[in-house]
Amino acid sequence: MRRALLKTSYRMLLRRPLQSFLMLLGVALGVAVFIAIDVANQSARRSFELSTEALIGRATHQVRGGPTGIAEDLYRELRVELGFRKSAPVVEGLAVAVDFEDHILQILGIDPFAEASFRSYLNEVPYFQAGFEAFYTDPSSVIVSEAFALRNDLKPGDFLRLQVNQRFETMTILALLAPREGELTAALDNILLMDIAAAQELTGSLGRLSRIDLILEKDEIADLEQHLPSGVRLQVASEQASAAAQLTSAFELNLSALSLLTLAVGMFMIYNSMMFSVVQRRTSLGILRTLGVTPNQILGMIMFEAGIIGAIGSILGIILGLRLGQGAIQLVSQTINDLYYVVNVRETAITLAVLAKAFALGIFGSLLAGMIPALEAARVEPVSALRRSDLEQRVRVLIPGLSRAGIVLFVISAILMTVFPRWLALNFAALFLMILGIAFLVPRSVIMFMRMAQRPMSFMFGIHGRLAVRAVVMGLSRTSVAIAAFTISLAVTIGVSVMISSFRSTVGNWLETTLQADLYVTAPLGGGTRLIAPLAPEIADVFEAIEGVQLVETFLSVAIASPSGPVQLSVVDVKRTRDPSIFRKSNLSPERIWDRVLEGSVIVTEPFAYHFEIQPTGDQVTLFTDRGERSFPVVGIYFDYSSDRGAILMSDQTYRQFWDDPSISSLSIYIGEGEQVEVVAGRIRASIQGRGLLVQENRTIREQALAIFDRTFAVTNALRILTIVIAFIGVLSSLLALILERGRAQATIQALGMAPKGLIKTMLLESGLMGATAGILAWPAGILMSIMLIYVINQRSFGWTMDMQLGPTPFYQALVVGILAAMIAAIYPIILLLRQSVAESLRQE
Amino acid sequence: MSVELIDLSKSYRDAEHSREVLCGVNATIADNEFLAIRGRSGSGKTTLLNLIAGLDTPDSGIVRIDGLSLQKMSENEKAAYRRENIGFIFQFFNLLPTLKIIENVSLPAELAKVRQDEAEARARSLLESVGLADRANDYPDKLSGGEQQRVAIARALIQSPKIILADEPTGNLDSVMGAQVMELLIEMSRARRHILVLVTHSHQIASKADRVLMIKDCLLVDDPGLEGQLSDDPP
Repeated sequence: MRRALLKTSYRMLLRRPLQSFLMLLGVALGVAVFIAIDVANQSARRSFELSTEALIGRATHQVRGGPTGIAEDLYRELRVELGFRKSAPVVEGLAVAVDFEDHILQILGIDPFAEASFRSYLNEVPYFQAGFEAFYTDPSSVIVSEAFALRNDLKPGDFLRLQVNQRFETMTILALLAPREGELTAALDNILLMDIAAAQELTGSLGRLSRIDLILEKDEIADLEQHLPSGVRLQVASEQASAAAQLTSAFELNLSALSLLTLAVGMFMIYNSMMFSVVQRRTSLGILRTLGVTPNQILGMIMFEAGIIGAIGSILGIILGLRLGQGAIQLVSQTINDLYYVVNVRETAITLAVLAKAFALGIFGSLLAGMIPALEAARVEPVSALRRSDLEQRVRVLIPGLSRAGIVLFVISAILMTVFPRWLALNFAALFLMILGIAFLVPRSVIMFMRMAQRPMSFMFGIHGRLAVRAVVMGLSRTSVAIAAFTISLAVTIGVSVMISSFRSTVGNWLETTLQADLYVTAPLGGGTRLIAPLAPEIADVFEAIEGVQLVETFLSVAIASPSGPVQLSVVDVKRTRDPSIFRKSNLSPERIWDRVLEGSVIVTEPFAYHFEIQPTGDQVTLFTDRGERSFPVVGIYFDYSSDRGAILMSDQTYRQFWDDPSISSLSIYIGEGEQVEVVAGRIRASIQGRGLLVQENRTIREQALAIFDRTFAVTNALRILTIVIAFIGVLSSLLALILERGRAQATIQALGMAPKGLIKTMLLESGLMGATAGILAWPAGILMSIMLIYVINQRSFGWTMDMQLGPTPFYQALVVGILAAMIAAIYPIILLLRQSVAESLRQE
Repeated sequence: MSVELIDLSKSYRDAEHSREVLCGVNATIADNEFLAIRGRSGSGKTTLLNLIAGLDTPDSGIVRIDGLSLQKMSENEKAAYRRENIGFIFQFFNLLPTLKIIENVSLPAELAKVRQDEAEARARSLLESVGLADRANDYPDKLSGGEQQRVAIARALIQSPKIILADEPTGNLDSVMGAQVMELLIEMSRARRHILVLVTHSHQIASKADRVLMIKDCLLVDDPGLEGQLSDDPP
């Protein structure tokens, strides 16, 4: 492009600093939100992968057993008798550092003699030097990471109080682990390294191993497999990390889609500002055409401007996003910790790919938004430069086509959702198409609304009301884009609010139905919705003997291997009939379902049935038991919102039959009639003093569950607010543009005798009308969006069904927010307008 | 009603320059007078009209309307003064594109809180007088320049203002159309006994006024009336 043209573009951007700034802000905020979420997702995933990889080391395979692991004799047999020399035993567990904000540490029990080939960083520990004997001889000796020690002001020789399962132990720090490779520092941050025997003692798994790591050649695999006893399996080491990563993929995709939505709203803003800039320059563009500049060169010039805005906006967005990312990491990793797995994000995963993706997205979004204004500019004839009235005329001609296109987009969206029910990314694409469809229907709706508003506005506000209505209709090319962007952001707010409140109320009802006991006893290690610390089974008998306790039920949540990866198993010892409403689908009566469960069948949660495409009758689930691979018939599907991975529910009796695991995760205690919950809870607490168990009332558990629920949606809420902020900037930018280009008309009205307060009134009415239109249009759009979120996106991401709750709050909130935000956005443009000299504005042609 | 201009000065400044357009202007405009003001482009004619209308503020001096100083009025009072006393006619018509013709004409009345039906009745009658009754429901962009200026005249007259300020009302029209519009304006103004202050380049148009003043070297002086001195009349 010619330098002169580039200069024109560049100076245009500089001449309208406020407009340029608002455009930059639109791109920057969109990109920032996207990168913040991307960085948070990647950081959490990378941290988990790194720590998993660090723990796996160079192992190619792992031998694993059931929930209680494998007998340690197997290790000796493999290594000594069968000659698999590249093998290392591992004992794993979790411990809570009680003096350090209940920080969770990962116990890694190893045999230093077998480690050499596996985890090179462990070779840096001076196991065999004099003075290090305590590692083998003192079961309380531990090695912690240098990072953990530094953070908590610990040094070798210091004591570290731990809670493991329901026991408290005081350990001594023998040495600090400081791996040379940088990445490992973060990965091993939570490590608690011990001698394998000490780890067995600490975790209460004497004679058992969590796994055996192996480095195998291809030809050794079959040989080893045939020597494994029943209930023990050989698996590829890397599968574990990828299985965990898959758990969070739907969660990540949901967040990414929402972050893209904020960028989409930002794009509306760029479009509007670019269009304004084109219309404003009509004379200059006409002159350029007269001087011989080609339409393509004009097109290139406007696209260049969009590109510049995109590039600078993206850079600002990246800088801002990396800052926001820190907050997003907290929120995202909290949710992952609550719902999926323990992850401790110490480093932000900022890769060139993440930055490049955000940058490209910002530029692409800007170019896409600038395309229509650029084409419009290229159409300017040398003689008759583009006039606003020409543009308005064209917009009016386009409206029927736009409305039809909107309906077509709805149809395509419906087809995508119907034809590809399991392709989540396409379902999100369908959601975006629907949003675009809503935007396309906005201009016609605005005209309709303004027609309806004409009389009441005139009646209530006289000439000011009429002027306001007319201004919205006559500036449709601009007002409708701002209203569309605002409608979408308010619709997102309604949609997400309805989805969250429906979800919350469904979860609330579900908790009410399922949490029937008066008291619950767990080890405090679980964190979030996971119960990972086992309790001693005999504790149930202790509680049953306590005065006031009528009934004790046991519950175990355990990860079990299956041919399709690890699955969660809920083992219940049901002594009371459950509320029939917990069953979602079954061909049997609730009583019959329980009978069948007691006979060895299982029921599965909704997410489980969805992910594994299980029908309530005729299907089976196959699990690796301690007796080998076994299939269990499925007799029903039940509602469960504790995990989006899903779970299988099995009776205690069946579980004990196939697994040699006596442990339990929690106890449900029913108290006798007339007994006071607090009193019985006090007796129970007294009976288990010093054992580190939590005794919680039904109500507390419910509150905690809902608190986790609210935490889970904290990111969603933050994104929702950011979307409104961007739309607010969009309205501000539009009003600014409208006011600037209407300077002369406004001056005329003032010359005819309208006082400043009349002008303020008219402008506030106009912006309020825009906000109200967006607020009201957001109602049907929001309902549509909530239907999609509840019945399509959520169900297909996580497999949950929920009852839609349509309360009035999100709707009137959207209207109030719409009107108020638009009126607030009008304040600055009004100030500018009042500052303009009427005489000066009248003089301008 | 009378208008007194006492020692009015006004200059425009930017970062580097200052340009004085009025320096101690004094004049009195009598009731029912048709005053034409001539001057070269940029001589300060429009500025003077704006000062009379209270749209601009002088650096010094006073604009007094019936003994009341405009400079002592608040913005709201000035707006009320314009609504009740001033009718404006601009070179570029300045009709509001978002309002229909009838709405444009009735706008000043509505701003003065006249009931809408009454304001529209007045507007219709005025549109009849200017020969545009049949275009009442059109938007301004459907009208020719001459028609738009006739609408602007109707708008300026709707509140029966005491002063009509016309800034080059024919400057954007061809000579035939310009003559028609001028005729209409003068006729209606005389019939309603307004003060008409008309800014124009044209000697020919100015010659129809009761008195012609001109701005020269930032002062308002009597027009020498020399033929050809300002030979910018349209051919």
